[in-house]
Amino acid sequence: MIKEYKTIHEIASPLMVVDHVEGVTYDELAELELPNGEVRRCKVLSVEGDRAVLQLFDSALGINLAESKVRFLGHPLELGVSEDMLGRVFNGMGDPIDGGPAIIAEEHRDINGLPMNPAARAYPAEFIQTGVSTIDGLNTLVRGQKLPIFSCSGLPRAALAAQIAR
Amino acid sequence: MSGRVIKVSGPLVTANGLQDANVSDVVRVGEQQLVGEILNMTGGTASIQVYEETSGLGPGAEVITTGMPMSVELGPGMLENIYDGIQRPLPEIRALTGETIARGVNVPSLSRTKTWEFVPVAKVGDAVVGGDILGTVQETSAISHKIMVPPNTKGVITDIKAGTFTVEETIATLQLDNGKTQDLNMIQRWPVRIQRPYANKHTPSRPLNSGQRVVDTLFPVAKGGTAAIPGPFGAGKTVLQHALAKWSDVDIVIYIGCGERGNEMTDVLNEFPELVDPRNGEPLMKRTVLIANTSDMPVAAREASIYTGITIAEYFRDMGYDVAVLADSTSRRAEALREMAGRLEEMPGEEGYPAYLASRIAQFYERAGVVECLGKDGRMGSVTAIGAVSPPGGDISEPVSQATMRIVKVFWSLDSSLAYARHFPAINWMNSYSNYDDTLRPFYDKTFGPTFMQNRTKAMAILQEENELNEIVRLVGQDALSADDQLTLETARMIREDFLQQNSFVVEDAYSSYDKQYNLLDMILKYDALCREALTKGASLQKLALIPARASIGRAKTVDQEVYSAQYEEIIKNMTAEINAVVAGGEEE
Amino acid sequence: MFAAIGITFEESEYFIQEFRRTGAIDRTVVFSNLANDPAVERISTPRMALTAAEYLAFEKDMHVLVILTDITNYAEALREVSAAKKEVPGRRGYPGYLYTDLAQMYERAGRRLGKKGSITMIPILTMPEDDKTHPIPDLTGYITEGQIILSRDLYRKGIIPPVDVLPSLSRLKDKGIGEGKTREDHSGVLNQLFAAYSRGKESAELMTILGESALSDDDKLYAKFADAFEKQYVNQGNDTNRTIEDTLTIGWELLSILPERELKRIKEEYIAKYLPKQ
Repeated sequence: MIKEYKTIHEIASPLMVVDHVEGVTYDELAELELPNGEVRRCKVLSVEGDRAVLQLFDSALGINLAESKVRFLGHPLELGVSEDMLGRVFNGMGDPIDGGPAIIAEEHRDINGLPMNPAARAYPAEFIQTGVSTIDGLNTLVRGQKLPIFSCSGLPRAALAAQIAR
Repeated sequence: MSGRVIKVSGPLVTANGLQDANVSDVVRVGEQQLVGEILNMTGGTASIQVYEETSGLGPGAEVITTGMPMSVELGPGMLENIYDGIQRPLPEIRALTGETIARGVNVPSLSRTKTWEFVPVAKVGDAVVGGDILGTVQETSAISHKIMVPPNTKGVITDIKAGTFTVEETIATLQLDNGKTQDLNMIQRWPVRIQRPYANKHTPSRPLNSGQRVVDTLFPVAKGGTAAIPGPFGAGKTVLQHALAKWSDVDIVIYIGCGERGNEMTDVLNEFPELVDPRNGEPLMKRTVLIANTSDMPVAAREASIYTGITIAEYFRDMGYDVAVLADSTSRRAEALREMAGRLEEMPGEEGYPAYLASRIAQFYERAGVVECLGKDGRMGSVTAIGAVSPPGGDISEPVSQATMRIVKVFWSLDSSLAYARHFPAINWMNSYSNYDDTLRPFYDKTFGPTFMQNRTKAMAILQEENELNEIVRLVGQDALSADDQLTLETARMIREDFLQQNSFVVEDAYSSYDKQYNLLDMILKYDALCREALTKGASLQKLALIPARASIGRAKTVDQEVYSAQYEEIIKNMTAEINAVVAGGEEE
Repeated sequence: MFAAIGITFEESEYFIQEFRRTGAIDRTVVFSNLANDPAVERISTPRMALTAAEYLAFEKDMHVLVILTDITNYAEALREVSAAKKEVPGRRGYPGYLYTDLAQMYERAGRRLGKKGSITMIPILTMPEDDKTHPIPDLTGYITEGQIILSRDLYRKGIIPPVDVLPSLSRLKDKGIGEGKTREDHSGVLNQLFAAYSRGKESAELMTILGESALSDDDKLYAKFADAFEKQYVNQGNDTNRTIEDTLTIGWELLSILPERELKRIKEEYIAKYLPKQ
C-alpha cells in the first residue's frame, strides 16, 4: 500500500525534507503532487528515523508545503525496457517525448545497474573500422571499449562522433 | 545480538541497540544481509560502513553483528583465484548471480568441498609453536602450500594424518600446555587490519629481478622493499604493474585492482594462465592471487581490498616465500577514505582527505619487509609492496603522492611527455630514484662483478649530461657542440631508445634477464668508448653514427633470450671493425 | 544509443539529422535532456541510456554504440546537487565521489562472457579552459580505456578532424590489431608513426627557434615528416572513409620520408615487404 504524506517540512531546491514518514528506504523514488494535480518526481537521498531528505528532479517552482502531497513508490528510479524503444526519443526521466505511444515494457530495471563481475567480462578485442585514420591506425577502437572524445569548446567534436558512429 | 537501522545515507548506516557489539565488528544489515563494518560506537549506536549498495534499505531494518573483525580465510585455494575486496570468490559469485554482482551474496572464501592432498612433515610427539610447518599441500603445480601452526598456538602433536582433506577437516591435533586439546584444520582466520607476526625483521639486501631494464639497472627495488609508481593517466601505470606482476622473480604475486577498470582484471585473468614464468616454466597464474574491487563496485570495500591483499601476502611470506603485492591504485583507496570521512562529518584535512591519511598509507607500506618467519626452522620470507598512485592532473604535490613519497624507498615517476613519444616504460630517469642502490651494491658486485654498477653510474651520468647539453642545443643549435658532446647526445639517445625503452607487447622484449640487460648496456657503452677514441684520431662523427652495427644495436633488445649472447658478440665484432674502418678511411682522406 | 546531456537543441539536432541522413535513425534510441531542461535530470539521462543499452546488448544480442554528450554538463549537475546537500567539496568544488560516480557509468560498457552483444561507449566532454588536468577529463581518463583529444591548434591550421595524436590513446588497441585482425605490420607502423611524429614536432619547434640551418639532416627530415603527417594522415576531412589498408598505406608512404635505419620499431621483414621502394 502506498501512503501519502502532507508533511513537507522544508524545500531548498533541489532538496526537500519530509517528516513523519514510515517504511521509507534509501534511494527510493517518490512523487510530489501539487494541489493542481501536477506530479513531479524525486528520490530519497537519506532517511533518519521518520525524516527523509529527497532530491527533486524538476524545479521547486510553485510548490506549496502545506498543500502538496508526497507518495513513496517503494522502488528506485527505473526504466521500462523493450525493443520497441528503437527509433524513439525520450526525456531524461525515460518518458517518450516524440508524440509516439508509451512503451510497453518487457521489464523494469533500476537505472543504476549492478557492478559487472570482472570474472564474467569478455576482454574486448574485436577491431571496429571507423574510417578515421587517426583512430583506426593509431588509437584503434574495439568492440566493447569506452573511448571518450576530449574537446575544447568550439571544436567540431560532434562531427567526429558522427563520423565514428557511421 | 541485533540492532535496528535508524539512518541510511549512501554507504553509511547508523544503527542502535548494538551495546554488545565491538568497534570494527563485521555486521549483516537488513533482509539482504549486506556486509558492513562498524566504524564508530557511541553508547549502543554504531556508525557502519556498508560494503554493498544500500538502495532499498531504511530505518527499522535489522543489523546483526558477527562479533568478529573483518578477517580473511587463509588456506589452500587462494592461488589462481580472483576475489572481491572482502575476499568473496568472484567465479563462485558468477555461478550464483550471473554476470553482475547481486547484493548480500554469502560465499565462503575457500571452497568447502574441494579436497587437497595433505603430506605431513611433522609427526606425533613433536612439540610445535606458531609458524611451525605441519605439512604441505601441492596447491598448484608451481607452489607447495605450507600448512602451519597458527600464530599464538603452542603444544605437542597428538595426532597428524596424511590423506585427502577439505580445508575444514582436522589434519592434526595438539595437546596444549594447559592440558586441553586443539584440532587444527587447513584454515587460518586473520583480522586484516592487524599485521601477522614474525620473529625478526631484516634490512632488504637482495634485488627483485623484474626483467624491466629501467627498473633493474637504473632504479632497482629490493625484495621486501617498497616502491611507488605515480603518473598521470595514459602514462602506463597499469602496463608497468602488469609487467612487474608477470616477470618479477618472486614466488607469489598478489595483484590488487583497487577502484580501477574491470577490463584490466579480465586481462590478467585471460593472460596469466597463458604466460609462462621464465624461471620455472609454469603458467604465471599458478602463483597469482587477484583481488578486484573495480571502480564500479561499492566504494567502501576499496579500503578493505588493500588490507585483504596485504594480509594474504603476509600469510604466504610466513611460509618462507618471496611475495610481491601490487596495488593499483592506492589513490582510489585514499579517495574511499575521504568519502567515508566526509559522510562521518569528520574534520577534513588537506584537499578534504582525513587527517589520518598519511598514517593509513604508511600502514600499508610498513607491512612490507624481509622477515625471519615464526617457527623453529628460521626460514626467511619477504613482502615487496608496490603501489600505483594516480595524482589528479599528474601533479605529485597532492597529499596522496606526498604521503607516499615520505614512506617508499623507490619512486618510478611516470611522465606523460615520454608516453606521448611512446617511450615505454615512461619512467622519467631524471626525477625517479631508488634508495636501495647502496644496500644492493654488494649483491650486484658479488653476483655480476663490479662493472654492472659502474656501467649504471656511467649511463646515469650520460643521461644527466644529455639533459644539460639539450639546454644548449635549444639555445644555439647542435652544430655549436663539440664532436665529443655530440657523441654524448648520440649515446644518450641509444641508452634511451635501445636500452630503456622496452615493449611489453613484444614477446622477445617483454622480459630481460640481468645478463641480457648487462650486455646490452655494456655494448652501447663500448660503442661510446670506441667512438670517442676514434674521434681523437680524427674520425667523422657522422660516419661513425652511420655504421651498420649502430642499426644492429638498435634492434638488439628484441633478440631472443636464447641466442642473444652469440649475436651480441657478433655485433661487437662488426662494430669494432666498422669503427676501425672509419678511422682508417678518415686518415686516408 | 544517444544521450544528450544538457547540450543545445542545435547540437542535438545535428546528431539526429546525421542519424536520419545515414538511415541509422530507426536503430537509434535518443534520451534527450537539453540545456533548458531540468539540470537534475542530467544525472539520470545517461543512466537511462545505459540501462536501455544493457538490455539491448545483453538480452537482445545487439552491438550497441552509446554516445554520451556532454559529460561536463553531467558533472556540473552533480556538483550542483552536491552543493545543495552541503557536502564537503573535492577539487574545484566537484564532489569527492565524482570518480566513483563517473566510473559507475563508464564501467557499464564492455562485453560479457557467453553473450553476443556489446556496449561500446563514446562519451564526449568539453575540457574547461582547454585543460586536460581539469577534474572532469582527468578522472575520465583514469577510468576510460584511452581518449581521443582534439586540438585547437590543429583546428586553426584547418586540419579536420583535429585529433591531437600524441596525447590520444587507445588502451585496448594491442589486442585488437595485428595479423588476422587488421594487418601484421600495424603495431610496428603505429609505434613508429607516434615516435617519428613526436620527434618531428620537436624538430619543427627547434626549426622555428633556430632556423633550418641549425638542424641536423635527420632533424630536417623529421620536421618534414611531421608536417606531411598532419596534412595527409590526420587531415582526412569528415566525409572521407578510409579502410585500414588505406590508412596503413598512407602511414608507410609517410615513413618513407625518413631514412630506413630510423625505422627501428618495425620488424625488418615488414620493412622489406611494405616500405615503398624509392
